Formats: sequence, structure tokens, C-alpha cells
Amino acid sequence: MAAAGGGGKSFSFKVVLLGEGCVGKTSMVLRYCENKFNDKHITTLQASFLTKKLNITGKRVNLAIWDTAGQERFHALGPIYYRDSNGAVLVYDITDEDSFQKVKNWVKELRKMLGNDICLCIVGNKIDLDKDRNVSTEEAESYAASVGAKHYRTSAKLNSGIEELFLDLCKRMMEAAQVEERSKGNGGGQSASGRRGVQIVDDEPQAPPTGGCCSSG
Amino acid sequence: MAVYDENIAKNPFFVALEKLRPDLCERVARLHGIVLVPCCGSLEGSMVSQLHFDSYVVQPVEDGYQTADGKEVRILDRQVLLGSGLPPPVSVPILFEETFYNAKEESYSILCISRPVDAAEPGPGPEAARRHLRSLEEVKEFLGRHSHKLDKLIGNFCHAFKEHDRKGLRHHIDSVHGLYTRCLQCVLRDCFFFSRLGGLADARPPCFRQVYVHHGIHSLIFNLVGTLEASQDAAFNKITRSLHELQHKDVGVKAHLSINLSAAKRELSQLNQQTSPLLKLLCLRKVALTATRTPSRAVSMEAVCADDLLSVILYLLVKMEIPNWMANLSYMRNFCFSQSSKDELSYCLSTFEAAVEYIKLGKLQHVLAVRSPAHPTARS
Repeated sequence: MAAAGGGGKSFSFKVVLLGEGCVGKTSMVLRYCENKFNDKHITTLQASFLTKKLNITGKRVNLAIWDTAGQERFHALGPIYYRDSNGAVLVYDITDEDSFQKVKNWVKELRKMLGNDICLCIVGNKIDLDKDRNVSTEEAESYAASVGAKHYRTSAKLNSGIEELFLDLCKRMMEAAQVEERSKGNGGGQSASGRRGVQIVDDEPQAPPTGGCCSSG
Repeated sequence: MAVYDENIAKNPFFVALEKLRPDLCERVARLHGIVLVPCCGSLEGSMVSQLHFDSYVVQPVEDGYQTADGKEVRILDRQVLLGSGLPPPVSVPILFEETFYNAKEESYSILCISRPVDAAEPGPGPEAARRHLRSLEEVKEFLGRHSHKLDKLIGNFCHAFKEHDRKGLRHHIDSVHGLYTRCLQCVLRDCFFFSRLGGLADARPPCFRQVYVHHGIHSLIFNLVGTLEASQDAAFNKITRSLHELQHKDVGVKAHLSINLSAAKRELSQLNQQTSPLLKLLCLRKVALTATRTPSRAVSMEAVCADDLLSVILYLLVKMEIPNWMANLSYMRNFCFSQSSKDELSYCLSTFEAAVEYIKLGKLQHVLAVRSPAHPTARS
């Protein structure tokens, strides 16, 4: 069921949020999904699962943001949260060297478990506290480049850099999805990656599935 | 969750706005404002080009928002309130929000609203007309005479199942999936039925199919999963039994969430009464929502994050004595075909799976052992 390029399709992406408890990842994502019009009415599971609909120059994106348990004692549970994800936002606190080390550990693990299919964003949060900075931007940027990730600087407190981060991530995930679509087309429709791929959903009502091609893995 | 959705780029009002008033579109993007877009169902029979576009374009002003023609706008409780005064002259429900980015990467918000703002009568909006089929009774009523055809297919399946009950899980997942497909084809052959589907909030047919089909085959499949997972369940129950002394602070339940525990337990006690994987997932979601309720609505400071939720679920797993967690999780994971692996129900399921995994790893026994090293059951 390869979707034809362009037109009325929409992307559905899962993004996991990783980082230690105190780095401000929760306020960051709340900043992004709560908005000024919605009188702080955070829906459903509140900060742990949030969704956002975007329309980027005509292409619809459904973004599901999964908070993951960040406490050290829960570390082994990571794979349960990050399986099937298209992107990861790895947050550290620029005043806390240790939280940057934790991000490096997550990067290693994600690359090992999910390979290069996942778009990684390394985010230095709390740039409003620049005078207490303990992780230099140059170091973080060169590390990010060395692992094929992109580096961003944000402040949840000042609501700075967050929208740009997620917009950029979405564009990268759309690009990755389109590359995967094309390579699937060339590979004779064999969806080797199974359910890990993005879902591209046609907006028109679906015709009833007729074959056994929709494997549910 | 399945809620109202439409592609705004194809909405006749939005299309007309872009074509007839590029000036407004350009301005709203530059000012990061809001465009109110009546849902497409509410526009039937009206001449969209005659709607007063300036009443639908909202821009930020000093202490709030106003429309391009100068009316005050407030947003409260998922309603758009237009005009000043108490009560405001016009209030229209918001169906969903979408953030648009134009070619210059300027962003603005679309609020899809249930009807045009100048339509006086708040007739039944789509959210009222659209139904969620969430219980077996609703599904039966919806299916009407089709239920007999489905019953026949389900009967055939059950008959064939007895001959294959020794095959592995994979075989049964495929065969249940096949049954789903046949049931869907059966009901969709009927054009009348298809037109009724249009009125469903869960426009994806699988929802009703799942509930109905699984009710029919639940005892077979759930028993099978129960048998396959029996030893895992026994091992898990052995661990949880050893944890009966555990208190909520041992697992790190936040104080402000502990008041929800008994209500959450009540919700979770319904789990084994649900027959379909979808209904079971909805039960887990209800548990998670109940467990993380905060008393005031101003939650953004005390937002519940994944760690908080996981701690509460851990406590509930230990205290609830549901004897077949492994069977339940495997049933939900493997037999819920319509579910995306990215939605809220999947998040709930993952949280429960994470909690079970944590207990299986023996981490809580370690907590108890550390807390009371002199205790006879404590292991070093």
C-alpha cells in the first residue's frame, strides 16, 4: 500500500523525550503543547503523553510526544518506551555536566538499539542560566555532530527555541519518512522494517483491506 | 483518542479564505494569530464566499485577542467566546487545533470550530452527532442485522479453532486478523452501512469490529493466551505476593497523587470483566487518568510526568492481585489490530508493561530488603 507522493497524506510520528528528572524536559514539552489560547487546560495524561497537530506547508503531521521515565532506577525500562519511535529529544541542563553525560549514554543506547532510523535532537535547556553554564555549546555541538544528531538551545522558562526545535525535528522526520517510502518503492514493496516505519495515512476513507498485507507484527 | 478531525487544507471555508483574502492570511501568519475555521459538515448549504472572513481571523492585541473586525475574543473551556459582555453573545465549541506553518515558516493556529460564528442556532454539532462505540451494547445496536452475519463468521472461527488450538501464538494472531478482515468485508458490502459509518467518531471501522468480534471469541483466545502465559503469571504473582508490605512511599508515589489510589484501584478491578483488547486498553487508560488526577485544574506546575505515573502504576500492580497480568498484556499487545503503536492507549499499555518489567526484574524486592534489612523475608 505504498502511498503516492504529495497530496492528501499525513504523517504520524512518535517522539520520545529523554533526560534526567531535573533538566526541565516536562516544562519544555508543556510549553510546546499547552498554548496561550488553551487556558492551561492540559488534557488527558497531562505531561506524560501529549499530542500536537501540525501542518507544514500543506503536509499534515500528527506528533505524539512520549515522556519516558527518567529516574536512574527506571533506566532498564527505556526500550519499552522508545521502541517504534521516529525521533528522540534528549534534554540536558547546561548548568549540569552530569546531565550531559546521561544524554551521551542515551545516544549510545538509542543508536545501538534503533540504528540510524531515529532522528536525534540533543537539547541544552535552561539557556537563561548562561552565567552558571557548565557545558560549553561548542563541546555539545561537536558531540552532536559526531553522532549524527542536531544540537539545539532552549529555555523552557523564557519559551525560547522550543517551537523551532520541534519544527526542525518534524521536517527531518518527514524527510526520513519520504526516503524510506522511496526505498520501499524500489525494493518491490517488501516492508522489511515492519511496524517500525512511519505510518502514512491517507485522509480519504480507507478502502477495506483486501489482502494479508497489513501485518500487525 | 479518536476525536473529530478533518483536513483543513481541503475545508471549503479555508480554501475560500486563502483564495479571496490572501491579505488576511498573510497578516495572521505575520502576527502569529488564529484562524477560526468552521468544520466542513457545518458549511453544507452555505455560501462560504459570503461569510464575513474578518470575523474569523483573530490577532493578538495588548491584553488578549480580537478579530480583524475588532470583536473581542476569549478562549475558555474549549469554547471560543466572541464579543464582550457577560455572558458573551457568541460561544462556539472548538473541535481541534492545528498549527500551520507557511512557506516563510511563520506559524499561526487553526481552531476548527463546530459551526460558523454567525450561525445563530447552535444546532447539534458534529461532536454530538458522532458517536463513540465503546460498549458491547452500543456496538450491537449499531450493527443491527449485520450482527447475525458476523455471528456466523465468528461461529465458523470458533469451530475451526478447536482443531488448531495447539498451534502457536503467531498462528492465532494471524487467524484472528483474518477473521477481522472477513467481518469488515462483510459489513462494508452494504452501502447503507458504509454511509452510517460516516457518522462515527471512530471512523475507522475496526473499533466496532474489535469489540464485537472479540466478545465472540474472547473465551477461546483469552484462555489460550492465559495458558501460554501461565508460568510467567505464576512467577510474577510469586513476586508480587512477597511485596505485600510495600507502601506507596517505597515505590515513590508522590504525596499529592496518593489520594487517587483507591479510586484508581476501583477502575483497575474492572480489567478482567472486559472482553475485547480495546476495552481492556480503555480500562488501563481510565486507571491512568484516575491515578493522575490533580485536585485543582491549574496543573501545569505540578504536571504529572512519566516517572510519577509509573510509580503509581507500580503500586497498583502490587496491591491489586490481578492474577493474570502477563495474559492480559499479551492479549492487548497482540490482538488489538486497529491500534496505532503511537497513540495514547499504546502509551498506557507501555507504562503498564514497564511497571511489570520493573517488578519482574526484582527491583521492588530490593527496595523492601533495603528498607528492613532485619526482616526475615529480606534477601541480601
